[in-house]
Amino acid sequence: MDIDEKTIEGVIDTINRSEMEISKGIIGQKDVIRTVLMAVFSGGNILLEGVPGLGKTQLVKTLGEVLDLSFSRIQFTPDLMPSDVVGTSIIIKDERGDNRFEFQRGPIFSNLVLADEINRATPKTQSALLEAMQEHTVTSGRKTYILSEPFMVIATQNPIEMEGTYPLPEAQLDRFMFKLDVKFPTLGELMDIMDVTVTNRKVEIAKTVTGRDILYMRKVIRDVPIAKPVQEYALKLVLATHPDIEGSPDICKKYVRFGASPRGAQAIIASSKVKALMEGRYNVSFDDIKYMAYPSLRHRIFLNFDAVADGITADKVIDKLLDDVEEL
Amino acid sequence: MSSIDNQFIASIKAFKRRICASSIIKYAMLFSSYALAAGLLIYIVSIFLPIYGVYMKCGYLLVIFIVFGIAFGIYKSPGLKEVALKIDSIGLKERVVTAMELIGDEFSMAMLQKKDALEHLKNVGSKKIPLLPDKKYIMLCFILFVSLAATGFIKNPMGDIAKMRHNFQVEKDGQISSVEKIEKELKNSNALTTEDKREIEEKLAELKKEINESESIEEVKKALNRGQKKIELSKKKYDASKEDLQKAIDIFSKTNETEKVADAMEGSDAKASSKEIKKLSETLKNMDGSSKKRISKDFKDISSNLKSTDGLEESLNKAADDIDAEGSIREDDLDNLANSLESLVRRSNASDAVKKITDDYENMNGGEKGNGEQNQQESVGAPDGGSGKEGASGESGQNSKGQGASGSSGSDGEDMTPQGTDGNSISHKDGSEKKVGEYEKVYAPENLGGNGEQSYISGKPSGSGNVDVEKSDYDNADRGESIPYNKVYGEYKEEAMEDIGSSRIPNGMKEIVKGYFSSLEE
Repeated sequence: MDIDEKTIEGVIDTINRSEMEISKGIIGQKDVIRTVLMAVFSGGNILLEGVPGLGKTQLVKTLGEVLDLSFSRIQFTPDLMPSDVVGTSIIIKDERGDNRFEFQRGPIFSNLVLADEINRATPKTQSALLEAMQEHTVTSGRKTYILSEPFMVIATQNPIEMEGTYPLPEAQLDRFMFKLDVKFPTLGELMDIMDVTVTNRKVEIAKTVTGRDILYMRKVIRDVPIAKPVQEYALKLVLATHPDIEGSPDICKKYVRFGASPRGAQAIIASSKVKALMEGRYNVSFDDIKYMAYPSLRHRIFLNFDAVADGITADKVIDKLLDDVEEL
Repeated sequence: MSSIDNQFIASIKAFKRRICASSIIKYAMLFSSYALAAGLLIYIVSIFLPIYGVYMKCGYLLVIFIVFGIAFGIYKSPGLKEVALKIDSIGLKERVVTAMELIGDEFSMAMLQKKDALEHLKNVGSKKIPLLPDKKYIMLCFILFVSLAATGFIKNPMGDIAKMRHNFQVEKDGQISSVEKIEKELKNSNALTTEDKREIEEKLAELKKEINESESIEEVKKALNRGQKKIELSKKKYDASKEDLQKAIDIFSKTNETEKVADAMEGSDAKASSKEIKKLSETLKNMDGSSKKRISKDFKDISSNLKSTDGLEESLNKAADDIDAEGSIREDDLDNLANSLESLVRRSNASDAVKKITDDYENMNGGEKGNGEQNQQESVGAPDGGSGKEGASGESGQNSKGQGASGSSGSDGEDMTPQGTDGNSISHKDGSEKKVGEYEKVYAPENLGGNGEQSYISGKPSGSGNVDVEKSDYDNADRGESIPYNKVYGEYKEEAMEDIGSSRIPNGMKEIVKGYFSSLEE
C-alpha cells in the first residue's frame, strides 16, 4: 500500500484527537479509552467488565459520537431472543395487496453495537452475536446479510449480581479482542465527573473521523513494522499460556485449564501497532506487547477450580508470564 | 540501499565498537572472578595438601584467565542485530532492531521508522552504552580478590612442606638438566669414538633415571656419587694412554732428530705424529751410527715404560730392532709404528675429553652438594654448628697434595670428626652423635699422594739400566687426602663384594658385611 508520510502523520493525529474528544465525555478511565480506541483502529470487539455506574455505556455512546458511526444499543435480558438482536422476517402486504415476508433488520445492523449486560441473555441469544462479531455477517433464514463496515460490538458485563446470568462461553469470549476491567474512578476523577454530570455545563464533543476513515486508517496501521524478536516474544507469551506446552511457567501448569488461542496473538500484535503509533513510534516495542498482553489474554486464559480457590486471577497469571518469558 | 540506510549502519557501527569493548571488559572481569575463585580453591586445598607457590599459581591463573576472557570477549563480540537489541535496551524501544530489519525497504512507513530510529540514535550517542560491566561482576571480583589477599595473613601449615618438596624438585630438575648438558657436550665431542660415547651416554641415562626416581635429596646425591664413580672408571681407561704419550714426548723431545715427532705428539695431532715418524724413518738413512743407536735406545726406553697395551710396545721394539740390525725401519714395521703412535695420540685426546666430562660432572656434583646442604637446612630447621663447613663448591676441589701415609680408614680420630660436607644423612649409622648432613672423613687409598707432580722413572725390571729420579715439591710426610666417607664407600663395597665371592671373608661374616653396606645406602 502506498501511503505517504503525511497520511501516516494524519492517522496519528486523528487517533490522538479521537482520544482527546472521548476524554471530554468520559472523565478518567484513560487506559480504558485508549484501549477501546486501539480496538477500534485495529478492528476488534470489546468486552467491558465493571460494576454498574462506571460509565461503560456512556463510553460507548461517546465513542459513537466521536467516530461518527451508527450506534445501537441492545439491553440483554434473560428473555431477549436472537431475533431481537439480528432481526426477523415479518409478513407485510405489497402494493398489489399480496402478503410476503420481509426481513426487518435488528439493532445489530449498526457500525457500533452496544451489547449491554451481555451475560444476562441466554446462551442462545448470546450466540446470535457470534457470526456478526467474527464474520461481520448476519444470517436469517436462508439469507446472509453483510454488515456495514466498520462493525464492532462493545459488550458490557457486571461482575457482581451473578445470579440469573449466563457466563459467556469460551468460543464467544475468544471473539472479543479485548476484555477491559473498568476500574472505580479516583477522587479527582469523581470530582470531575460531578462537575460534568450534576451541573448545567454542556460538553461539546466533535466528530473526528468517519467510518470510511477508520477503514483506511486500519490499513495504514497494519503497515507499522514489528521486529522479529518482538513478534516472537508476543508469540512466546501466547504459547506460554498453554499448560501442556514445554517451558510453560508453573503457574500456568497449576492454574490454567486452557491457554489463549492464536486470536490472542493477533490481538496483541494488531493493537500494539496502534499503541506504537499513538505514542509517536513507527515500530512495535516489547513494552507495547507487554501492555497489550493484559486486555488481549485475560479473557482467553481459562483458569481451573484451583485458581478460583487460591484467588488466582488471569491478570496474576499474565504478570507471571511476563516475568518468566524472556524477551530474547 | 538508501542514504538513510547507510547513515543508520554507520551510526550502529560506532555503537558496536563500544559494545565490543564492553563485552571484552565484561568477560575479562568474569573470567578474572573465575581465576580468583580457583585461586581461593587452590589455597583451601593447600591447607590440606602441600602446594607450592599458591599465590604465584593464582597470578598465572589470573593472567591466563584474563587473556582467555579477552579472547572470549572478542569471540563473543555481538553481530549487528545483537548490537541493535543492546542499543534498544537503553530506551530506544526496539527502534533500532526494527530499522535494522527494514534496511533495503523503502515504503513510507519503513522510511519513517528508519528516520525515527536514526534520529534517536544520534540523540542517544554511543557513550550511553556503559563500558564497565554490571556492578555484581565488579563486586564479585573485588570480594574474591580481598578474600584471596586476606589468606596471605593466615599461616598455612603445609606451606613449609610444599616449599621443601618444591626445592627438591627444582634440585632434581637442575641435576637432570646438568646431566643433559654433559650429554650434549659428549655428543659434540670429536675426540671420543662412538663406542666410548655410547658407554658414557648409557651411564648418564642411567644416572638421569636414578635422579628421576629419587625421593629425597640424599638419594639424588647417592645417585650422583655412583654416577661419578662410573664415569671416573671410564676415564681411567684413557689415563694410561695419556701418561704413555707424555713419556714418549719427554723422551723424543730430548733428541734433535725426534723433536719434531715430539712436537706433533704434544700438539695432539695424530696424523702429524704419524707423518713425522715416517719422516724420521727417511732421515734415519742419512744418520750416523751413534744417532741411530740413540734413536733405537729412545724407542726401547719408551717401550719399556708403556702402561697401555695396544701394540705400541711391540711396534717400538720392532722398529728399534730394525734400526739396530739394518740402520733403518722396515716398511711394514714403520707402518705399524705410525699407526700405533696415531692411536696413542687419539686415545690421549679421548682422555682429555673424558676428563672434561668428569670435571663438568664433578662441578655439578660439587654444586649439588652445596645446594643439598642448603636444602637440608631449610627442611630440618636451623642446624647447629656441626654442619655446613664447606662451601657450595663441594669437596671435589679440596684434594690435598702430597703423599699419604696411611691407607686405613678411621685410624685418626681428628680426621674422623664429622665435617658436614654435603648434607647426606647416613652418618647416623655409626651410632655416634653426628648431626644429620655430616660424614666421617676417611683416607682414600687411591688418592694417596694427592695431585702432586708425578715422576716417570724409566728402567727395566732386571734392575739394570738408567734410573731417573725427580724430586717432588711436596713433603713426603703429607698425610694424603682426607675425603668424605660417602665418596669412597662405593669402592670399599665393591671390593668387599668381590671378597665375599672369594674365601677371604669367613662364611659367617659374609651376611654381616653385606648388611653393613646395604645399611649405608638406605
